Amino acid sequence: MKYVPLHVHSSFSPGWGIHHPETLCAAAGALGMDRMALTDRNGLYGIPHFLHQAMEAGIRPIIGAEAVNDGYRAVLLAKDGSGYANLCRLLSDLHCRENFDLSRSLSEFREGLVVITDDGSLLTHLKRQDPGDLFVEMSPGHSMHNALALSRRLKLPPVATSRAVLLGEGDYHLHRVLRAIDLNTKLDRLSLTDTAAESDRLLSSRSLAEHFPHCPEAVENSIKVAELCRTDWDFSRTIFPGYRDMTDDEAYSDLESRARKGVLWRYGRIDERVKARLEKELDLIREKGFAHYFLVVEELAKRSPRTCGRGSAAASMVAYCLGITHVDPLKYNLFFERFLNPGRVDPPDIDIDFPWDERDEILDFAFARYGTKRAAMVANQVSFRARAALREVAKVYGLASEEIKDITRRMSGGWKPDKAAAAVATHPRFAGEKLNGDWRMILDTARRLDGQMRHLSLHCGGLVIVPDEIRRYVPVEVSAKGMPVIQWEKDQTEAAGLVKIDILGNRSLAVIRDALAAVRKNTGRIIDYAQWQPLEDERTRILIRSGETMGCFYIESPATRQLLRRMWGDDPDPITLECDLFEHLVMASSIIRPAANAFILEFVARMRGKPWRSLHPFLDDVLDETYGIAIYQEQITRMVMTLAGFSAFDGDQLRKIVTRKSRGRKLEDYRTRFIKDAAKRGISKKTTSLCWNQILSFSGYSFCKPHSASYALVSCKSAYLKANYPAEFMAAVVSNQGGFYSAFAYLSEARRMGLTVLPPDINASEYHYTGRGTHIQMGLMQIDGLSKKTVDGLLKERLDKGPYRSFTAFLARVRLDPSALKFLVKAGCFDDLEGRDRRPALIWEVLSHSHSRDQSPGKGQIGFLFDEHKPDLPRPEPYDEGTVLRQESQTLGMLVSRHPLDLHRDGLDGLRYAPASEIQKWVGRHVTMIGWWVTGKPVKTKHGEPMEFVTFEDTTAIFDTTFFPRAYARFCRKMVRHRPYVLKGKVEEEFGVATLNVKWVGFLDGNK
Amino acid sequence: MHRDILHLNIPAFPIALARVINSFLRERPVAVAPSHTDRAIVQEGVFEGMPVFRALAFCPSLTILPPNPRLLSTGMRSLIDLSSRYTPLAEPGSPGRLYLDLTGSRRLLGPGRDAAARLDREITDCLRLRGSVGVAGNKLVSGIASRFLRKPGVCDVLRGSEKPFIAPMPVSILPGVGSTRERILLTDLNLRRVEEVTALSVSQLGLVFGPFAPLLHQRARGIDPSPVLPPRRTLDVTEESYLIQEQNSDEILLAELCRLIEGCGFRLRRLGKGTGKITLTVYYIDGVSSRESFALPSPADNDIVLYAAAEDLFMKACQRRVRVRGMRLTCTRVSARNRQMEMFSSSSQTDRRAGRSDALQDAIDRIRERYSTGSVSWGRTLDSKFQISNSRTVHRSQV
Repeated sequence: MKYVPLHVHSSFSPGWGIHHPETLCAAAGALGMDRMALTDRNGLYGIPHFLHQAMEAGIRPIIGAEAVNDGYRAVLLAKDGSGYANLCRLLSDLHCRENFDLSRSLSEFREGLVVITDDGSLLTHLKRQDPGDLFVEMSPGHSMHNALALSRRLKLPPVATSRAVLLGEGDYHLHRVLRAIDLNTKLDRLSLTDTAAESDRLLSSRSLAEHFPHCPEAVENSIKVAELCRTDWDFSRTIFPGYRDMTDDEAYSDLESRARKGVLWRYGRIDERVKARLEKELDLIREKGFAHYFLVVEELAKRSPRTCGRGSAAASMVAYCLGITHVDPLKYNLFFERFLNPGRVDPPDIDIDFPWDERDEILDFAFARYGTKRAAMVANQVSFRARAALREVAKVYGLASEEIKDITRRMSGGWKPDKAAAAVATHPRFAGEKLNGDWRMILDTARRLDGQMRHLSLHCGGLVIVPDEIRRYVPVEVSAKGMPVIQWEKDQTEAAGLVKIDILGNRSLAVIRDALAAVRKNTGRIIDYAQWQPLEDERTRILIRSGETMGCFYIESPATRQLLRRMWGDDPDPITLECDLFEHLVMASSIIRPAANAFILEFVARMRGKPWRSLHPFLDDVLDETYGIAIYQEQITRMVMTLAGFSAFDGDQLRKIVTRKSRGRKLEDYRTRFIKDAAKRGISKKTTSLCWNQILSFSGYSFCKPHSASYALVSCKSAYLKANYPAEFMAAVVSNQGGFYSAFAYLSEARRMGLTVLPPDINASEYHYTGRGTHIQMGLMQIDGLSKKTVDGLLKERLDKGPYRSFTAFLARVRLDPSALKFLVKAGCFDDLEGRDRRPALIWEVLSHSHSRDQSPGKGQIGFLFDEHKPDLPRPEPYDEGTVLRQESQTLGMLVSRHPLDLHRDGLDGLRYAPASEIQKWVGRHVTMIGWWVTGKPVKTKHGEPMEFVTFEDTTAIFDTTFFPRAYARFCRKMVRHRPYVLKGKVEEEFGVATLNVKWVGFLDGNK
Repeated sequence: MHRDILHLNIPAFPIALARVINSFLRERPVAVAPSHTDRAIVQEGVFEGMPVFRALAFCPSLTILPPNPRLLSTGMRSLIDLSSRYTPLAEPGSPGRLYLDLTGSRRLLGPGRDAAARLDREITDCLRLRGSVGVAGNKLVSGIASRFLRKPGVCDVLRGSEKPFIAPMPVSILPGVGSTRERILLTDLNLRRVEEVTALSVSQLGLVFGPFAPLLHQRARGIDPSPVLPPRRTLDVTEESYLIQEQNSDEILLAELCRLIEGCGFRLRRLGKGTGKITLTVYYIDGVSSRESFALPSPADNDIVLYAAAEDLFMKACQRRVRVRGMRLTCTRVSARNRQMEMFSSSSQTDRRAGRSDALQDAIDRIRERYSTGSVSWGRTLDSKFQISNSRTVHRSQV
C-alpha cells in the first residue's frame, strides 16, 4: 500500500526538528516515496531549500506547516497558490497578532488549504464552516484510538501521518537535548508533551501500514490528500518592488529620463561610448523589468549625501548616473555583465552603504513610504555554532558555566559544531588535555547540532519591497526591535524571487562625514564631497603607498598595509610610481582574500617589473590589467567564457559555486566541463589546470572589481583626511568605533603620527573625541558607566552658561548621580580645575554633596542623634601613581597617560631588545622584541595546520609577526591580549617589508 | 575589670582534621571541595572557591576530599570539650574557630596568655591540631590577633592597647569591611590603614557608610563590647549528603532525598518527636546554593508524609540545570508528635490509612533497630537501575 508523508519536520522547525530538508528528501527517496510534504512548526523557514532539494532527489514537494498555538495544533497543506498565500498570511498572524486564535484564523484563511488535525474542538468548529478538505490525523504513538473515534463521530475522513522528526537511532536523544535547550530545562524535566514521541519517524509505506490494519483507509487517504495539493511549485519569477504605483512602462520611461539627465550630470555630455553603454543597459533593464527596482533604490540613496553604492551594481552606468554608485564604470572598465546579463535569472542585487548612524532613518523612510504591508526586513536564521552548541548541550548535562567557558573560550567563533570535536582532538589549544567521559558525550551530541535553526534575527540591512502584499509571498514575524521580518534569510529570499535591497551601515562614511564637519569648523574649509578628487593630493598618494593606512576604510588591516608597503614602500621603485594608484589600490584590496596567498607575492613581483605573460594568449584581454593574475570575480567568468566558451550565465554560475563554501559535486561537474570544452579549443591540459588553480583561489570570499572600486573611492577619501587633517580624522575614527582595531590601537597610531592625546576634561571634552591641529581631545563617551543622557545634560549646561569654574560650582550647576560624579573624578575630568592631588578630596565632596541632598527637606532621611549638621571634610593624601593608573584603566578602559609597556620597565632590566622602529636593521638576524598585542588573525596552512599572524606595538612603532605552526602550537595557549610580550625570533623581509618570525614567547609581568 | 577573651583559630580546619586522621595527606596538597584550601597550595595558584577542574590544572597532585560534616562536627566537639576545662563561656564561630571568655579567672588559670599557651599545647598534644590563639580584651581584637601570626602560637594584645595594635593594619581586617566597602575605602577615599579610618569622625564616616558608620568607627578603635555567647541548645535533626559524582538527574537526586528523609524520620521517631518544618538546601557544583522551607500542618515523623513535602521542596529548590554536589535536609520545630485522634475526623478511611502507614513504619524501624539502618529501605532510594545512588550520606545533629 502506497503512502505519502504529509507531516514532516525538518531542522527548520526551531527547537524541534533535527534533519535538514536535503537529508529528509534523500531518506524519502530511499524509502521509495515520490511525494513528501514539509510541515515545519509555525513557519515556512526552509521552503525554498526544500523545493530545491526535493527536485534534486526526484521528490514532488508539498508545501505546508504545522500551526501550533495556545494548545491548538493543525497541519496545513497548500493546495494551490491561493492556499500558499493564505498559509503565509495565517502564519504571519500567528507570529504578529497578540490575540491570535487558530480556529478563527483558519476560518478566515482556509481557502486553498487542507487541514489535518486530531483536535476535536478545532475540527468541530471547522466542519461547521465547511467539511471539505478536513481530515482527522492518526499517527502511531498518538492516541490513535481516540483519533479514530473522533473521525467516526464527526464523520470526517482519517489520514495517516507519522509526524516525522526522527530518522536514525540516536535521533531521539538529540531531539530531547534540543527540546531541553529550547525550554531551558534538563532532560529529566521534559514532559511527554514537550517532545516528539519516539515513534515519530519517517516510515516506509509498509511500516506505516502495519500500524493501520484496523483503518487502512487512513493510509489510502494520504494519497488522496497529496493529490489535492500542488507539487509543481515555481518560485523563479522575480518580484520587483512597485515604484509609486507606476506601471512598468511608466517606470521605465521615468528611469530613462532620469538616467539621461544623470549622464549629463556625470559626464557633461553624451558621447558615442557613453550613449552605447547607456542604451545597452537601458535595453536590458527594460527587457528584464528592473526599472522599478532602480527607481526605488535611487529614492533611498538620495536620502543621504554620503553613500557608497557597492557590489556588482557599481558596474552599471545607469546606477552611476542615478547617483546610486560613484565609480565611473567606463573609466575603470567595469564589467557590466557581472551585474546584469541576458541569461541571469536571479534578481539583481544593489547594496548601498549609509553612515551607520543614519541607517535607521533610511529604513524608517522606506517603511513610511511603502508601509509594513509591502515591505519587510530580511532575516538571519540563527543556528548553532560550535561554541553555542557545546555550551547549550553542556548546560543540559548540568556542567557549571566556568567549566564550559574553559573549553569554549579556546574555540574560534567561526567553528561549526561538526568540526568542534575534531578540532578539540587536534587543535594545539587543546594539546595534552584528555577530556573526560562527560565532555566526550557532550561533544558527540553537540557535533550533531549543525544547521538546526534556533530563531530569527534581523539581517544587517536587507529590505524586501513587493508591489502588493508581502504576506502573500512569505510569512512575516516581528523582530525584537519591532520591525517586520520575513522568515527567510538572504539566499532563500533570492531563491524565492524576492528582490532584496541592502541598506547597510558603514562606519567609515560617518568618519568621513564627522571629519569633514570638524575640518569645516576648525579651518573654515568646505570640501565638496561629490567633486572631491582625493588622489590629486600628493600627501594622500604618499600615505597610501607607504601603507600608513591604519584607520582608512578597507585598507587598514595588517595584511593590506603590508601589501601596500610591498607594492611601493617608503622609497618606491620608480617603475611602480608610474602605475595608476587607484587601479592598483583596487587590485590590492581585492587580492587580499583567504585562498589567494600564493598569488600575492607573484602579483607584487610582476608589478615591480618581473617579466610575465598570460597563461594563454586568449586571456590577454581578460587578465592584462591585473598582470596575468585573476584578481576580480568577474575575471573567472570571463576566463571560462574565453577559454571554454561558457555563456555569461554559466560563467556567473561557476563564480557563485566557487565562492560558496558548500559546492561539492557541482564544482567538479564544472571543472570537467571546463577542461573538456577548453581542450576542444586546443588549450593544453597544463594551461587549463593552472587556470583552474586561479579560479579556486576565489573560494571563501572574494570581490568583484566594481565592489572594490567603490570601496577604494571611500578608502582614498579616508586617506586624504588622514594625510591632511590627521587630528580631525583620527578623532572621528575613534568616535565612530567599530573599526578593525581597538580605540587603544588607534590612539597609539595617533601618537605615532605626532598627535597628543589629551585626557577627558570637563570643560574641553565633548561627547565624542575632537581633533584640532596636533591634539586629540578625548571625549566623555570614553568614560565607562556614563550614559549619553548624563553627558548631554552636563554639556548642555556648559554650552548654556559657560565653562565650569570649580568642582563645587559643577556640583551646584549639574545634578548627577554620585556614581557618575565619581566616574568623572576618577577619569581625571577635574584635574585641570582642581589638580590631580585633590581627586580623593573631590570624592569626599561628592559624598557630602549627595548626603546633604538626601538630607534636604522633604527627603525624610533620619540622621544620627548627635550628628553634626555638615561635617568638615577630611583632607586625604593624594592617590599614589598606581591608583591613578588603575582608575584610568577602569574608567577609560585603557591607559591614556602612558603606554602599558611603560609599567613593565623593571622587567626590561638586563634584557637586550630591538625597538620596533628599527626592525628593518635586523633583517636576517635573530632578535628579541617587546610587544603589546594589537590584533591577530588565525589562519591555516595549505596542509590544514593552524598558525597566526599577530600585530604588536611597542613604544616606538607597530610591527607584524608570524607564528608558524610549530611556534603557534607551542605558544597559542598563552597568547592573550593585554599582556607585555617578550618575543624572540628571526626578522625576515619580503619586498622591503620586515616581519618577525616568532620562535619563542615570554612575558614581562613574570607570569608563565 | 579587664576582660580576657581568647580566640582559637585553626586554619583550614577541615583539611587539618583530614590530615589528623589520614597521615598520607600530611605532606601533600589537599583541598576540600567545595570551600577550603590550604595556605600552602594557595601559593601554587589554587584559591578558595576555584572550580575543581581548574585547581587540578594548576596543581595536578592536589588531593580533593569531599566535605565530611561528621568529622567536622566531631572535631569541633573535641575543641569545645578541651576548652570547657577553662571556661563554660565558649562561643563557636566558623569551623575551627572558638571564642573563650576567661574574664575573672586569672587567679585560677593565670594570665590570659598563659592559659592560651596551655590551651594551644593541649590542642596540639591531644588533637594533633596546630592553630593560633589571640588574647585581647574583646572578641574583635582577639580574633584579629589570632590571625596576626603567620605561624601557630599565641598573640597577646595588652589591654588598653587594642587601638594602636590594629591601627597599622589594612582596613580589610575590620569585620563588616567586605570587598565592596574595602573598594570604597581603598580606591575612592584613599584610606588604606585602620588608623586612617580611626582619624575620621562618625559623621564623616556616615557620609560613606550611612548607618554602619558608628559601628565601623567603634571597631576601628578596637572596641567591641559584645559578650561571648555559648550557643543555645536546640533540637534540630539534620541529614546531609554529598554525592561522589555530581548529578543533575532528578531521578538520582530524588532517590538521595528519600535517603535523607529515611535518616531524619528514623531519628525523629527514636526521639519520639515530629517535625513542624523541613528545610532543604541544595548545593550546586558552582558554589551556589538554594534553600526552601515548608511548614507542616502538624508535627510529622512518617517517612511517606515527610517525603511528599520534601519532593515539592526539591522541585522548588532545585530549579537550575547545574549539577548538584549535595543536599541538606533539616527538620526544625521539633516537638512531641500529636497522637491525639481527631474528634470530628472527616474520614475514618484516612485515619485507617494513616494508622496502617504508621504500623508499617514501626515495623520497618524495628527491623532497622535489629538488623542495622541499611537493612531495609524505601524503593524510592533506588534509581531506575535499582541501585543505591552513588553517594555518601553523613548525619549531623545540631546542638
